[in-house]
Amino acid sequence: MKYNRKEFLKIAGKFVLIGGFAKILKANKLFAAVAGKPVNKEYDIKSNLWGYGIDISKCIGCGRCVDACKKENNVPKEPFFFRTWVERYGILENGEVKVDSPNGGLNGFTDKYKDEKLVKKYFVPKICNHCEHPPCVQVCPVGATYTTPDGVTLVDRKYCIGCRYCIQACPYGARYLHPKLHVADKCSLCYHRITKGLLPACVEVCPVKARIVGNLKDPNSEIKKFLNANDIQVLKPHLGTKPKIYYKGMDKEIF
Amino acid sequence: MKYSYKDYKHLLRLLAIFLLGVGVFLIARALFTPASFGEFGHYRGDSLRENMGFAAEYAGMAACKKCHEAVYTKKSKSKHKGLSCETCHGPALRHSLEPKKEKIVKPGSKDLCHLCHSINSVRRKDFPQVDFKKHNPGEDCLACHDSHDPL
Amino acid sequence: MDEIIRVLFEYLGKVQGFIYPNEIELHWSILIVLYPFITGLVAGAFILASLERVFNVKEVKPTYRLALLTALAFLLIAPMPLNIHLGHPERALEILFTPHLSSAMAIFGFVYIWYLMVVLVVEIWLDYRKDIVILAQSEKGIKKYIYQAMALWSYNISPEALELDDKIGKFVTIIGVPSAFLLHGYVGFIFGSIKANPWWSSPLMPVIFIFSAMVSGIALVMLIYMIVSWLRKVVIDMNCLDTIGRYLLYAFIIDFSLETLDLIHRFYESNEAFGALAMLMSGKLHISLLIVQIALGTLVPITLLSIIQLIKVKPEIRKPMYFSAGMLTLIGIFAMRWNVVIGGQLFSKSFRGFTTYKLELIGKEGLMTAAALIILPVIILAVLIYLFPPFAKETGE
Ligand code: HEC
Ligand code: HEC
Ligand code: HEC
Ligand code: HEC
Repeated sequence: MKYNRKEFLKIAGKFVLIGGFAKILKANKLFAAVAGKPVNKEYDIKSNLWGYGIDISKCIGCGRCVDACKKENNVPKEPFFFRTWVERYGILENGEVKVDSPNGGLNGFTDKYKDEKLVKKYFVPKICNHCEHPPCVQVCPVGATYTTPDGVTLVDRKYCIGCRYCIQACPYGARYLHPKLHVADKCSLCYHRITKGLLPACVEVCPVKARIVGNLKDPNSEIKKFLNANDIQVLKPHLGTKPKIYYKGMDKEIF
Repeated sequence: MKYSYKDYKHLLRLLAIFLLGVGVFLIARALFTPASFGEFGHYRGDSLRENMGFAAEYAGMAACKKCHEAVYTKKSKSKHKGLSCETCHGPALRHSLEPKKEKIVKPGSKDLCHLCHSINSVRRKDFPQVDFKKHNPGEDCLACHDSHDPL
Repeated sequence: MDEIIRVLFEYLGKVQGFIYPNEIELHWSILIVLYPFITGLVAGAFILASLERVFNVKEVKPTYRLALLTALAFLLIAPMPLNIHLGHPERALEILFTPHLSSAMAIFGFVYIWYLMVVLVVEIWLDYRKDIVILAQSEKGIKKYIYQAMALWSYNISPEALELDDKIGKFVTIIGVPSAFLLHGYVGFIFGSIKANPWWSSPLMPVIFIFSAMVSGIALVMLIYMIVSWLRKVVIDMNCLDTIGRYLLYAFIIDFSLETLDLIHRFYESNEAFGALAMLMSGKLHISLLIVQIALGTLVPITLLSIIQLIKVKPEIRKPMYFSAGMLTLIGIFAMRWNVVIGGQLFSKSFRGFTTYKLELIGKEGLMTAAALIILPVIILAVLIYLFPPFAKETGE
């Protein structure tokens, strides 16, 4: 399996080799940021606070986000490791709630309920909630998972001891133990992308704009408009974790 | 004083060993704590930069425009305007940097279109879905629909 | 990696209902069951020892040193299951160098070192110093040097020095009792403070852990005392055994009351997770919770111990009754740790389904490792008994 860092160095190396090509690309600032240097120095961490919106009423359950996330972040392909996944809910007339997420929705969904009469139905994308009071960070014994000043909860792969306490503490099942690196892993909101002006991979590939991301400190950002224009709910609000993943169109059966 | 030095000499030695232990611990701690620890909070500041520096795979739709202007403009006026190029073509950052070397797949319609357009009772009704068993079965979707401008 | 993937595919077929996809892997295995079990034994054994020293229960004197050595032997092994279980054992020291103070687990390193070095080792050293000095002068060869080093090359055993030792020893024991509570109470807190997990999240958890620790530790020392006496072919001090049995019963009644209270509270509150937890208790944990932990591991020993209190039973019958009560208690407390640790991970945090856990025989987190980790302290205890004969005083009398 490839490792992100190695992979990065490889690409960076190649990039130096094709210097001529690089000159053309430099015109495109975005590009230079992605491939030319690891850290975008122009990124001002203090003026950002990342929030993320999910519009359940738009999601069509194509699973492209799950696929893109795994490819972007080198998430193991087996169906036990997800930084994001999509759940399918179908509520029958008698009130029975059917929920599933075969392979996290990565291969889309077959028409399993075509013979049932569903009174309500929806696809629900899930990711790490990047809580304001993250229980995972609270319990990490060594400081290997943390919330950045711009509100993203990250994992330090070089420092995590792999005790898995954070996995136990997460109410959302958003974390897993990376089977190869033996450290906790989870959605990073594509921190390497958002800090360079790119969208997270899941947002980039979503065909129906069911996922939006933006700066909560910027009153004109897409996420701010989304929050102001809609009725918003978060997952498991009673736990007091204060998620920064905001759902529109959330039904009571979703948790 | 009831006790003389020789009565608690062994205790002082024990104390010395403990103090030595504490000293060794403090030195080891100073040596092994990463330099950037505590820069932003109770974690390695370098970790934040490492996370920023991870390699990307997806280039973003804006990147394709420069070289695939025609497809880009066609698509942006089509029913598929909301779709990113990489939704169908997969990660293409490396391709964007070295198009000659890093080929990307042209997806076949077989495994692609059904993800979004196959009829599904949980999918919202206002989304265009076709029954693959009835809608021109056996034929390639691309024979009638251009993926960059489906209708 | 392939091994874990193979196991996970096996689990995948056994998932019931809906669980979040990341939840198929059960993260804390039998090794993490062992950890609270072992620290519980340590804390319990120490509290039994302190009965004599602090609370002046003179009857248990024959087990005083044995209890301390038992506590030490098990405490030395206590961090091993944790360390083996870590994804990166080589990074374990970070927990001491950069402890994250809001994490219950971060305190582990310090509580452990405090308890091992400041409480147990010092107490044992002070209590044994006279023996060590005598041995340092009488033994030959390599053993002589070992004892000399242990005496810190200071051989003063004048009455004044010993009196001082005794005073400080008593002080250390007094500190030791709350430390033992801390050692195990905090293990309970590790689980009790996880609000995401309704099976764990309970302020009663640390208290239940402390009392169950006392129960298991007292039972263990009682068993070891009986076995060692039998091996040494000396008569068991029935007065001592009866006293231990009585304290075991007291601790057990408090422990069982607390656990019942916890259960009643869950039933009465019936919060959002109750459906899943009720299914857990009647389903996956049926045998280990209702039959092994509650019936066999709690009610039977409590009954046996109560019978001895209520009616006069002959010593020849009391002994096997104590022995079986002790064994069942240990099994019951182990089942309790199992039900907390494994049980708490079997249900999904969506409360809609269950994953599964299969104990492998071999492998890093298999049954063999667990068995080795239980046998190892017993071997260490044998070595400690050999190095520091706990019976010297008795035979001298
Ligand atoms: C630097 C210019 C450049 C950029 C940027 C670029 N491409 Fe290309 N692309 C090319 C060239 C040149 C070819 C033809 C390569 C060949 O035929 O060997 C190509 C071919 C393709 C093909 C067809 C492959 C085939 O097998 O026929 C696809 C699909 C494609 N690009 C998608 C993309 C997407 C999606 C992006 C945006 C992420 C992108 N490209 C960005 C230059 C570029
Ligand atoms: C709905 C999915 C989809 C999207 C979105 C999409 N493509 Fe394609 N693209 C395809 C398919 C399918 C083919 C293969 C067509 C064929 O074989 O006839 C293809 C072929 C191509 C080719 C090969 C040349 C050609 O025209 O056949 C290029 C270049 C290309 N796409 C670029 C792009 C770019 C740039 C974008 C974004 C502006 C984009 N595609 C968006 C599905 C898509
Ligand atoms: C990732 C999801 C996705 C994939 C894959 C995809 N489409 Fe689409 N398609 C859409 C979306 C979104 C729309 C716009 C729907 C709307 O207007 O509500 C659309 C619209 C269409 C329409 C127009 C329907 C209408 O009535 O407006 C056609 C035809 C179509 N797609 C055909 C295809 C074909 C053929 C393929 C395979 C090459 C394909 N699509 C692949 C998402 C997708
Ligand atoms: C023989 C040509 C042909 C083929 C092959 C074909 N289609 Fe179509 N399709 C059409 C035409 C014509 C329409 C528009 C008229 C209609 O709504 O039936 C259409 C409409 C659609 C629509 C819009 C339906 C709506 O409700 O708005 C979708 C989605 C679609 N096709 C997808 C596909 C997919 C996916 C395939 C491949 C399995 C495919 N088509 C194959 C001719 C074709």
